[in-house]
Amino acid sequence: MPKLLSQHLHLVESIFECIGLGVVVIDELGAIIFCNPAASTIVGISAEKVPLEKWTEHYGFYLPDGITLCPDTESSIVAAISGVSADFEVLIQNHLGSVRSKWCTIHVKPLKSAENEITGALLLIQDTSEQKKLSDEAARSNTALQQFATVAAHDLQEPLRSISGFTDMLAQFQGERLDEKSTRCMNKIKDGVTRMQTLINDLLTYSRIQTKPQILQPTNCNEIVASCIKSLNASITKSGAQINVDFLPTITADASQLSQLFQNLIGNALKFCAADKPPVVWIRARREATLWLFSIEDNGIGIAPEFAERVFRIFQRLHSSTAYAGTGIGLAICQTIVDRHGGRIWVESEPGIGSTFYFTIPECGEETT
Amino acid sequence: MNQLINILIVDDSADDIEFTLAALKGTKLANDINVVNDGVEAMDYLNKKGKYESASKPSLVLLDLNMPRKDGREVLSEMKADPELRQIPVVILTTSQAEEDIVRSYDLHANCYISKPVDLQALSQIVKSIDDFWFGVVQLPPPR
Repeated sequence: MPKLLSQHLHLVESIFECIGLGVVVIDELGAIIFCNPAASTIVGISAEKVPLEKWTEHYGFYLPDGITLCPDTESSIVAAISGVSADFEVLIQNHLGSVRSKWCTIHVKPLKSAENEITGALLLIQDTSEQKKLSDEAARSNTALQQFATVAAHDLQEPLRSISGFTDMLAQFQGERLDEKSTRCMNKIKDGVTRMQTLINDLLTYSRIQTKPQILQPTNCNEIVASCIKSLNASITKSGAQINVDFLPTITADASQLSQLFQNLIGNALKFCAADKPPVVWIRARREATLWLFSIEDNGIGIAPEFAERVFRIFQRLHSSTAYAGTGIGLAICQTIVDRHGGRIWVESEPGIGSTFYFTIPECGEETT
Repeated sequence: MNQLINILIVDDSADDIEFTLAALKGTKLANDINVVNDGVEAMDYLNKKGKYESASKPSLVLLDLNMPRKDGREVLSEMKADPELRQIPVVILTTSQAEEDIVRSYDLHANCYISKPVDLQALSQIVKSIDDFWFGVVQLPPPR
């Protein structure tokens, strides 16, 4: 053998020795002629001389239910030998070798000679157990979180309703007999209840944003922003705010989440305004490679640089609730919405001058969970 | 106009019932009010089962959604599937403001959906408008 060819062969062999992907080669009659260590590790038993029709049973290839043997193995290999590629998912569980069950994706491809004749098939076996476990866990914890939030929201509200309702009743019964001090205390109780209620509702919104499935569709941002501005009308009129909106694109997004995102960001721009001048807000969008970059700029009080990242954390507040009302959930909701659209959100700000919140939404609007 | 106004309140919270009853005082609804505490009792009442043998058919049902044993959604769907009961207007009166609860309730043919306010005065106003609307404005089918 020429030296160069032997070096090449050695190199190829060591690659197959090292990689984590299971590689199995079979000849045109269905007999295994090559099998790398990863394949034996994943399957749990090493390759043996077993006729193709006995493979499923021998190696323990099951359907996702874990009970029915997977019929695809034999048919896919037969198909590959006649020139057609196939992919399928199996649950491998055998009691001969390893008893641990494993989720695998198997790709079967025809192998051809230099003369383009089919010489057999290549099986690529990928262990997807870890991925599967992680995605299952994520799905479970999402469901649990949603159930918890719904139950908590209802059951936490109930005692609050009692506190609030009986305080009202007490006021009704006592009428004019209530002195100034008692009235003050009762108002404090009612305020506390209202704050708690806002907190629970915001928390519920936050958990819904995280768990509710997204409906991604072409969404016209001009319409979304226009309706947000309309619903913020009261505070715009009150503060004498001026809101400038550039022409915005139509993007692939969940319309209700996008609306919440703009609503929170524009709402913040109005809320955290300077004491001495009416708020001026600019809403812009610009195309950057494969994504859209949106910005909401204001001339408000700004955020000190050390808090620029912290403001997106849940319950993070920079001001007392008497100075600026709120629960510290708004920007955490924004962060979650942008994350779920596969984008990024951040703020650039100069205290006393203003803040600009930026967020990106990828063109294709692919969902990330 | 319906002469015999008989309303059924289905709610599991004693405090909430007390508030609703307080709000009902001084309305037309006040003359015959019956209270049950969960969906199972509500269906027994409506079907005149057991201790509710002599119960009269309500003119209006105020139905809470989240209750033990059988919740309001089940009561609603059973009522609207029953030719005898589906004519009774059902007002969902609940603490939930969740969009899915609202959509689901109307899907199950709720006659209207009201989120209970926390404020007692606001609740009084709502109960008064229920009374005005269902027993002042609306023509209900004659009792069968």
